[in-house]
Amino acid sequence: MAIKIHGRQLSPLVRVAMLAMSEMNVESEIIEDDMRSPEYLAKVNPFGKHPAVEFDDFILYESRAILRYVATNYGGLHLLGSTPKEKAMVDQWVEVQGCYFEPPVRSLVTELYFFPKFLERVPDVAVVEENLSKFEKLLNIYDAQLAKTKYLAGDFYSMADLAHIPMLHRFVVSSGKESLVTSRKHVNAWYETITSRPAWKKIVEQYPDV
Amino acid sequence: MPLCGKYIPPKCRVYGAPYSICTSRVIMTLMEKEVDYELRLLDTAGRDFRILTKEYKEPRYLALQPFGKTPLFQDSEVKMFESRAIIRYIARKHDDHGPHLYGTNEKERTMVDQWLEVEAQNYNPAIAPAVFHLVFAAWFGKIGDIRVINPSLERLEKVLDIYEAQLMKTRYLAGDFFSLADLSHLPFTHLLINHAGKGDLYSKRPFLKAWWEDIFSRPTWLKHLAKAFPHIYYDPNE
Repeated sequence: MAIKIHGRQLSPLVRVAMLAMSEMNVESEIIEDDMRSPEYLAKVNPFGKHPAVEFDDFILYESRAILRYVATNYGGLHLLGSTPKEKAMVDQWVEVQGCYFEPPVRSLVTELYFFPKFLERVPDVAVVEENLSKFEKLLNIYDAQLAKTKYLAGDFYSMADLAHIPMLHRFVVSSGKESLVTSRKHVNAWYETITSRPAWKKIVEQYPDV
Repeated sequence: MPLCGKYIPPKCRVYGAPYSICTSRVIMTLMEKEVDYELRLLDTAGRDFRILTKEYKEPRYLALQPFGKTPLFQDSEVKMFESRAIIRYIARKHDDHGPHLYGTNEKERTMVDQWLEVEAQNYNPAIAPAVFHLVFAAWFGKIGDIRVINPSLERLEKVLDIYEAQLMKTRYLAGDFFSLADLSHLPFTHLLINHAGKGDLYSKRPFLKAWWEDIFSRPTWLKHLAKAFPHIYYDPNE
């Protein structure tokens, strides 16, 4: 039976959950319900956010928690790291993704893609400039790390890399500011590698942009 | 790091300041697990006037922590940063003694992971601006901006309503056991309630109130407060 993922497929956050399923070859279906409805708040996620995923006997929300659970239970333990040190590095870079990467890049993707395309709204220049600056500083740190290791947590692909794919791909493909990524040698190489994964290509093909 | 001679890896070392939010999480976890550690005082906020140089901006620190922040954690196996990643590492490494801060089975661990994310993504962004403007501003001789404080507290109240509903069902956030998720809330919440005088947000929600009083009175937390703020708190268990 397909695992239900609550959220809109276009959302990069929801696509983290979708990608986790895709990597583990687990069948999933998308339920695009209203996050603000009383029913959603009462039964799915009281914080009114997506993704939220229905497993056998419980619902899990928060994309990184979902990712850990899917990796652990559907044959993806290697994504979490195999030794205590590897696990520590994976956890470290997952936190970086959640706390330093996601807020500015989500803001940029919202201003530069979602607002103009879907709401006919003009990007807020000040917000864009501030977040571009934050993102550039972050990418310098990533570039230095990726000069030393093939992936973020080491020379192995992990959930730390996976968690970046949907939002980073959307930024490169739709923001008009892709040079931030493509101009940095090691970041660009890493970006090309992780977005070429069959599991991600499958999602992009299944849900092409309109 | 020594300037010359053989490099001896530290048994367990934390770089940071004990009164800092993120370093507190790590120190609390080490204390709960009764792990000996060495604190290398490093204050990125510039609050501790004993620190004359901005060590965290020096290349040799940035080589270890490229974001120039604290805490940084070192033991014989790892050098790592990000407090919520560090506390997971410590909890896993020392799972065989002390409270099971990461749960005792996979399902419990999943709930701890979810509520750690909730804390980072929902609680923290709501409480941090209020604490910055109500508490930290005064520490640096500034006045907080009410245009930031009020929306922050409103946002926090909505989150607290959700916590109240959860704590009606479970004794602690991730289940009926004290975990990393509850621990992670201690530093900011303590400042909001005990330094900013906003305890009523918690005391008017009975289950939240009971939860807070429980975790706040853990001997390790009181001991930590006495060490971190020796001019304000004493350890009642000593």
